[in-house]
Amino acid sequence: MRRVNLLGLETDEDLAQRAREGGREAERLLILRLYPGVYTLADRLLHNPENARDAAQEAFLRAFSRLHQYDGAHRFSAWIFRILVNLIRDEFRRSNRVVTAELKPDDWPSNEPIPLEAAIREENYARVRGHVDRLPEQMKTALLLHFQENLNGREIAYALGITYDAARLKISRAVAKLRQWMGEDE
Amino acid sequence: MRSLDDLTMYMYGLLDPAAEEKMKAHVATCPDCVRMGRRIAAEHKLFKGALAREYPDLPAWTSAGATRHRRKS
Repeated sequence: MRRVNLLGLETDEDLAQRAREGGREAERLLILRLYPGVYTLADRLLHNPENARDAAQEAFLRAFSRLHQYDGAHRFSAWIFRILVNLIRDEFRRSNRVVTAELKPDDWPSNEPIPLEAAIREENYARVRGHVDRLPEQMKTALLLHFQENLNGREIAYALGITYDAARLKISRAVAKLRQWMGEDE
Repeated sequence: MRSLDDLTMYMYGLLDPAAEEKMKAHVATCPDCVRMGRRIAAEHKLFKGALAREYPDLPAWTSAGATRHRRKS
């Protein structure tokens, strides 16, 4: 039976099932839905947009070539993040395709003053992102999967290939470190 | 009052169901935990905003499907 989510859309998991049966449109829809999150995570881990685009594409290629291995025990997004995390760990890092963090151009138009509230918010966001980049990789990935992708504890554990308790501990320690560093900024 | 770490895991939805129920019952009767919970919620909002997903331009291959456009090595 075809399942739909609250918006009346077919779920990722049903799309994955259709893609496994050869549905090209289902495959395309999954990419459109999941690419932004996959790319964002890759970019935040690799600090290199070009490598992030390559890693995201490779993650989808691998996912669709191994759809028969997706057992539906977790959301499809958790499965593709697991593929991405392994890919980055095993290939992109090993081949030294990681470059140091690069400054990104400011999104604000230069000829307009930034509203104070927005400026303060952006400044705080930048501080958080800067501190997140200081975290050990697995802590950082766990935190990103929680805040960026709304994955639950079990999904984060699955994506990282660690136990549920270990995933919770990583998030707990990551938040404690962020609090410490944010406090030192004051 | 419960520990900051326990409260954080509660607010983040990362407690087991049984522990979550216990915490929920405790928080309902503990003004200190309510106050701390509000601070954790504000902090969670800050982290969530800072780490929100980006929406990049989609590369051309995404409109055709991953398996039809092999990545250049």
